[in-house]
Amino acid sequence: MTAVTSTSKKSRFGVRFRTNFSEQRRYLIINSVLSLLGLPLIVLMGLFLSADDPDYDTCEPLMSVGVFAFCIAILSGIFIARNSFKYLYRKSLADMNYSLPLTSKQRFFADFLSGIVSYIAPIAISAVLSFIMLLVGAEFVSFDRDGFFDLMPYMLTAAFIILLGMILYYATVVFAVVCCGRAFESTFGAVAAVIMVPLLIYFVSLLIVLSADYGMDETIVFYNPLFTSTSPVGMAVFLVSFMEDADYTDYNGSAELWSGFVRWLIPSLIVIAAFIIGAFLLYSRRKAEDVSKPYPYKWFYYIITSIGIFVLLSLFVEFNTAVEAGILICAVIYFIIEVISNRGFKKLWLSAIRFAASVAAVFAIVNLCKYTDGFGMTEYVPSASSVSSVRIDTSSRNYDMMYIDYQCFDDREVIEEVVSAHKTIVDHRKSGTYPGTKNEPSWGIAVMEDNEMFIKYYKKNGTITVRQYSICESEIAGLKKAITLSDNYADKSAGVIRSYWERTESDYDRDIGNFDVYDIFGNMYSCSMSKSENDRLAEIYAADMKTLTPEQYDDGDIIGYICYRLPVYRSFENTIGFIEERQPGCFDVDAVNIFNNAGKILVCSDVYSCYVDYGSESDNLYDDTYDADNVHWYSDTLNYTSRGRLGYYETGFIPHYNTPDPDFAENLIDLMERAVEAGRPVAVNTEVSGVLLIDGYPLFFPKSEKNDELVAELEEFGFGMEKELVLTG
Amino acid sequence: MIELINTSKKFDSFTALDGANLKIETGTAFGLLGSNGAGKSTILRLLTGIYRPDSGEVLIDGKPVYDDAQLKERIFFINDETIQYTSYTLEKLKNYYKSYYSTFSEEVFENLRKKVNLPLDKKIGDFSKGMKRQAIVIIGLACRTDYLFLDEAFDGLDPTMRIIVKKMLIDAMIDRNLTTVISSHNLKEINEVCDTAALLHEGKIVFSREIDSVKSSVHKVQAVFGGDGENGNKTYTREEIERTGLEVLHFELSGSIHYIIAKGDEETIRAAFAPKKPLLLEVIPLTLEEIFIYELEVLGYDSSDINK
Repeated sequence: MTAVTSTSKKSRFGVRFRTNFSEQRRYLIINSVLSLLGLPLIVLMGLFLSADDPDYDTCEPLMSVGVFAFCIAILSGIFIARNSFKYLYRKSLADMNYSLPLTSKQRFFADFLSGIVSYIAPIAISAVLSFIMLLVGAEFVSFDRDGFFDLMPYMLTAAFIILLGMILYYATVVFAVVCCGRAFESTFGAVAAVIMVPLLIYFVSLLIVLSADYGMDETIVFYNPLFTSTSPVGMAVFLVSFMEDADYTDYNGSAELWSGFVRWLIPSLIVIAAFIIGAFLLYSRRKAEDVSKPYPYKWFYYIITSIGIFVLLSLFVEFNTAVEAGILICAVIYFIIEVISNRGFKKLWLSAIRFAASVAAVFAIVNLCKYTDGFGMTEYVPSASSVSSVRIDTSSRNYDMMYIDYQCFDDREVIEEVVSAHKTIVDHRKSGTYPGTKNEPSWGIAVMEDNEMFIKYYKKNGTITVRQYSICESEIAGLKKAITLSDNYADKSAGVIRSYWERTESDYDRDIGNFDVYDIFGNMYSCSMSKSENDRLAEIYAADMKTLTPEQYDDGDIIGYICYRLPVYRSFENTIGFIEERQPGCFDVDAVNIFNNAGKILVCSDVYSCYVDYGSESDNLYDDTYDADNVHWYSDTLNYTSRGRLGYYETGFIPHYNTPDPDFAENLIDLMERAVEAGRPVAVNTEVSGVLLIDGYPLFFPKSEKNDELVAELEEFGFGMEKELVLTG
Repeated sequence: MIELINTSKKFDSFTALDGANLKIETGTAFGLLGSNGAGKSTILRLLTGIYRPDSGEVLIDGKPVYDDAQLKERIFFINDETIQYTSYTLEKLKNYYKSYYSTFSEEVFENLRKKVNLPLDKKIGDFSKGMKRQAIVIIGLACRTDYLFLDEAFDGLDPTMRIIVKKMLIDAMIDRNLTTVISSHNLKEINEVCDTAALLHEGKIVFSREIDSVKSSVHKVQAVFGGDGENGNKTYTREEIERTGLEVLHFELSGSIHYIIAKGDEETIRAAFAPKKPLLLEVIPLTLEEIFIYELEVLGYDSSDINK
């Protein structure tokens, strides 16, 4: 035996890495070109579009090219992974590679890593290049640099999620290539492995959702780590939902956002590791002579074809159409694949058994879901003690909820109230009874359920439970109150105020922005405020909000709004004082001013439906429209229902006071002042004496004898439905 | 030393090697002979560590080969295909193998390359068949491994090149005690290069010993026996000849002339026939090819059925 200076383990790995990496040169070049055409081009066009006079005709098509190139670069992982392991499906290369002085572990990991570096490095470099371009380019266009750096943690997180998605994509393809022994099968297997996992989970979820009469939506699967952590498609979905959540919190670093990210990250890393380790174990057990077998691991083929049949048949079940035809179509497709794969009609009876098993699985799941009510998921409401935080979104025309929507609450009382409301909602649907009856009965339940409510529970055990319902407004009345009174809401309101501030163009250098305040009739007042003043206001408001008592909430004595819909209660002395220093009298309601400037004034004692027909006789006072004013509420409750729930009313003209008779004017002003004093911009409960609508802005009169008389007086005066106002002067 | 101990290898339902036992001493040139599908290439791939045995052991210097990178660095395998090298230039392929084999010698490579006059910068895919084989052979020799396994190494080479390649192998064997295992259908070349050989048939080893010993262990006998009857010379049947103690591989009777292929050295054969007092007895040594044909004929692998 000759004296041999043996190559060390480490250098053998390095040698293999380098040789395989150099063999990837062609793909590396293509991927680099695509990557350079991707993100950098997108950023460059984005900068040009931010310039003063952007050329949309040039920039937008080029940006599309950039997006296309970026997507192709991402997808190129399949070709690079297959090329790294081409000796697994090309017989001529098997001897050459397996005879080299390498262990299977060295060969596998060197090939895996050299390929993944060829795949990811160009894209990563292009991302860094894009970042540099953005920073440099920002000097030349109007670009909020501070805002950009605020977004940095989220952008880096998004980049990290994309990176993990790419790694999982690559690992899945390698896993599939190890299980396949021929070129066609390795391509087919790789594509199938990438899409079948998310499709299977999605369609199983779909079958569960279809079995539920309420509460379940097919999108709930997108919040399930089983979906978002197990495939590159799922990770892309998680990326979208993560960025959406970040956007909803105005990039203010919600704790739930980051804990949600960690809850996704851990299973994702486990899945990636599982695919890599699984691929290696199968690789090391795979025999060199298995090259040119279609599937050295036959179970892989059985799994992907069975999932394919399951998914295809589930589609027919979902649409509940011609299921028998669906079975037939699936059978034909399946047997064609079997004949091609088996290169003939060998053991067709086994194929028939496998097909029957896949079909049986679909119907078993469907029936099991129906029998168990979606495995108990339909009526499932988590216990408050198992929930660490909750997010509710109403996405409705309920403007009072707009700053509640998409926020996460960890206040125990809020959580308990959400759970209680959830139970009520489920109980109603289970029993088939609905609370709303006060509105036009002919409109039926479809109008009652006019809110979409989405509940997302973040559980203490790290899981997320998501439900979605069409609800009646009364079902969340108590919830709105609990949230508004919580410290969570006060703190989040402060965040809203801070994010609302925006520098004005004219005062850009002086760090001054506009802050808008609204009175209860929607009149807007702007005041100038620096960022530090704005932050101070946020603190003051949050402190005032935390002092709001249930009684004050029930009283509904709101005198105005900030940030469009954050209520300023009369008890918020500090907030009112701070704002009125800068915009005096903004919350004052001038009865004369109201009446002089209002276009429409209408009073209704029957709040749920007001109908006025002006006819054609009062042409001196009215415009030439003879349509009726038709006012109604799209809600089964008035309690804190916002103006947005007020039904659309036709154009028409209401008596407009112009040149008053002094006595008439004095009586009218007095009446208006009393109305403003007694009225509230929100209904404090479901019973009201009536409502005064001024250009659609309501003043509700809490039920009392005094208010009954006030409403009658207003009606008598001419603002009511039955009597025309005849003016003199 | 190379050892196969009760080694079996199956490919699905096909048994490529069935309980094979083989010993190859260090520094020898060992030939693997056999019918098509006998298991020759399977043995080479087992020795290279490409295949893992289903049962039994494949040992080199007492250690299992499979998945032992250190051991595999002492082995170079040249298979019967060259398509895998077509995208490489000779220089690139040399550098490829040089990076894996720390014993690679540039000097040896250059000497051999100049001898066969192969260009460095041309793609191997553009070489002729013979040139492709030369390219990988010189790389294999330049790696200066302790073991060199060749599967159909001389296939495609012109006669002159065959002589050159054979000389290269012999020089290497002399120079550094290289152990070579060659599988080939060209028995003449095995005869010229190898000192030991094994014959395989249907996954089993028919014999394994020195070629000289093989050649001296099988002889062709032409015999005529004196008669005592009215018809002249006496003739014997195959069974009667076998009763003399000889193992008969082939028996033919043409008139009174017996044409027999029998195992045994010349002395033994003559001694076996002596009691029968042959009138004529010629004991002729066989070529390796003839031994191959007759040995396999006994096992049922022959061309006698081709016209049926």
